[in-house]
Amino acid sequence: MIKTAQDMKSYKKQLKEALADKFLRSALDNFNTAYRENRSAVYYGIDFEGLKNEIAAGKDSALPHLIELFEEFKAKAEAVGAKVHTAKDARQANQIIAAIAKENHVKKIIKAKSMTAEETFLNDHLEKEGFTVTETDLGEWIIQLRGEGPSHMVMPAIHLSRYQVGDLFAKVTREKQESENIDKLVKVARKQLRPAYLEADMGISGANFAIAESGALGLVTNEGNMRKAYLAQKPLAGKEPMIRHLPHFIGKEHRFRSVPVISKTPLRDQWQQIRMQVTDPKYNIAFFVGCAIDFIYPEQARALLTLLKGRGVQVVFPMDQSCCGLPLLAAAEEETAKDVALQNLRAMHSESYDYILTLCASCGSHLKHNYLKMFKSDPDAPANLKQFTDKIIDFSSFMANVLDISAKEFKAAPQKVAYHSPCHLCRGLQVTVEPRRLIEIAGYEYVPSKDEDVCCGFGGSYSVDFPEISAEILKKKLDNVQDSDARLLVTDCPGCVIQLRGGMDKRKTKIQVKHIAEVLAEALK
Amino acid sequence: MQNPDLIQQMIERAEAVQAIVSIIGTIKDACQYAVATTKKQGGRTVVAAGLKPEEQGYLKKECEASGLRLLEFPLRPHANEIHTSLTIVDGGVAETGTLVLDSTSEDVRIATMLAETHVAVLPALKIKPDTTALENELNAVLKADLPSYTAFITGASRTADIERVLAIGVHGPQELHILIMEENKA
Repeated sequence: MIKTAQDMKSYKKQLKEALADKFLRSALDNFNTAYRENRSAVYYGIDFEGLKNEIAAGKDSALPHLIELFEEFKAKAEAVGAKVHTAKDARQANQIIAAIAKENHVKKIIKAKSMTAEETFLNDHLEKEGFTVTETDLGEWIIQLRGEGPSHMVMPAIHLSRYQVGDLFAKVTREKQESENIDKLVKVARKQLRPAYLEADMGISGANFAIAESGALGLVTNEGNMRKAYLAQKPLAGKEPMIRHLPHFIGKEHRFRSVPVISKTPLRDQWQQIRMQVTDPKYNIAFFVGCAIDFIYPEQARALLTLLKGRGVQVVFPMDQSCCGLPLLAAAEEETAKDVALQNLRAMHSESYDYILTLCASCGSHLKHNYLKMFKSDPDAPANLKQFTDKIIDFSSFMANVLDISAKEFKAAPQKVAYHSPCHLCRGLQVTVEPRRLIEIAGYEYVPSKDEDVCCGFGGSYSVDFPEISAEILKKKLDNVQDSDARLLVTDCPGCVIQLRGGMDKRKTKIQVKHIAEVLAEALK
Repeated sequence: MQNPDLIQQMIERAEAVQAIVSIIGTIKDACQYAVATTKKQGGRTVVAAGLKPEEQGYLKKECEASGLRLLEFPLRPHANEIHTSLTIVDGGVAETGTLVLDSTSEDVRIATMLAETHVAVLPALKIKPDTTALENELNAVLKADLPSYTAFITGASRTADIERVLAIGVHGPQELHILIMEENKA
């Protein structure tokens, strides 16, 4: 029986144990850094990005028609003799599978790895009903024998060393094992599991994809265990309503970083005083501020205005704009996220502007990509949606690609600058070159640091819910920056600034953390 | 005649996933290869799928001459004693070094899943550059409105579940030998 946390308190207890497990942490660290090299070796000669995009596009195009595709799949599969069941939730799925086993007088079941089955606790259910279940994926078998759940979806037993596996196999076989030799350990599993296949009355596996027009299932297996299982229909997990408790942002788990104070005057209330009137402007832009800059860091927006002075850019602050809605979507509040989006679409009057500019990578990526996704199959999608998302631009792209700025405008400030690439900028908006170029145009010495494009650990509400993990991710990030010999850490997202500046402040280092707009404005002649 | 570049790519990609690749001329060569490999590995049994009756007869003689047993279908009773399985595959994908094998018959599944060593004969003319080029063949199987099972096999069974160290032969065959058959090489 898997011991899974049933509430936040026991979850946090397990989380602390995991964070204190040195082997687990180094194993996961190694995996996270090594998989990229391994992947490029495995995909040698294959256009991985192209393939990935092709598969993603295929999945995206199927999603709006999922129900029709499922109906077609079901009809085709049943025409060639398969039975297709649907379950409204995890419990019902487990019950259906147990009923199939009962009807067929099954005693022994073998299973290939299925993360859906892990999530529905299928094994627990079947064991309670009196069936013997044997996992056959090597990692899943190991953790089943130990009564644990998977620690990683690709490598379920990554938390265990060969010695722990060797000790476990010694118990199972009642023979001493040469734990040093992983090949031999693997052969133990081969020998032990062989009879389980031949004696099983029923097999359970997941499926990697289903083809509607032929009713075919596609299964991918590297070990060869899944091919040996018969096919079972993968249940669809249902949605359960969730009540979120807002933990205290000031709790002791949050002491790893200082928390910023809220600005006395939000940007929207300063705007009348600081706005600039430009005659005969070259560009008309609407400024999308985002909550963090509006209420915590208005100075980042003021830096923008300083930078735009004399460049023929008219900046307008549409007062009816709201939160971009990303935190709502992340909290599964899809309806409210759409309401907020509609408000922003009305407020920003995209038809009147050349660009909608934002200094926040997270807002930018949400406005540009998620707005389209949220309204994709909505017949009431606003007519100006595409126009709006096309005009969204981030600070660095605007400065480097739209405006013609040159090194001559900046004083040479030979300060060493490290850069943190926000997730929503480098992976979301796919902007990577421009910010680094701007740092150099402004006369700074850009010093690369390790893992610049790895998350800072903020992740919006993630860091509020999981401060322990957030702290560990931040620790590595700051260690890497300190190793780089930089005196200034620059990034393009106010969310990252909250995390990085708060962490640096706790460390009492001399390294300052700033938004890229600020460091550019400070370097102006 | 098959494009030599395609054969070369098939060999390289298959070897990159630890398959052992040779070029042969006829099915008889394949029978001899399967027997010799089994003997070398200390195995005692061979099973073949997809051979014509006269080829099956030839293999039986070769096995007997070497003191090996040729297992007959159905294979379920022999599931625990298959050393080498010899199959004629239905296609190859050069881009990934993959073999395509119609495994609708349970005996073919048992032969290719439970053997220690899988020796697969791949007719050179059946090598395609990529999976897209297999569209017609796959459609013929998928749209036939008959139950079917098609296996795509790339290399031997493998795992990295213990400390991310690659180990070959966890469940399925521990070795995959591919014999690319070019008839004019006879």
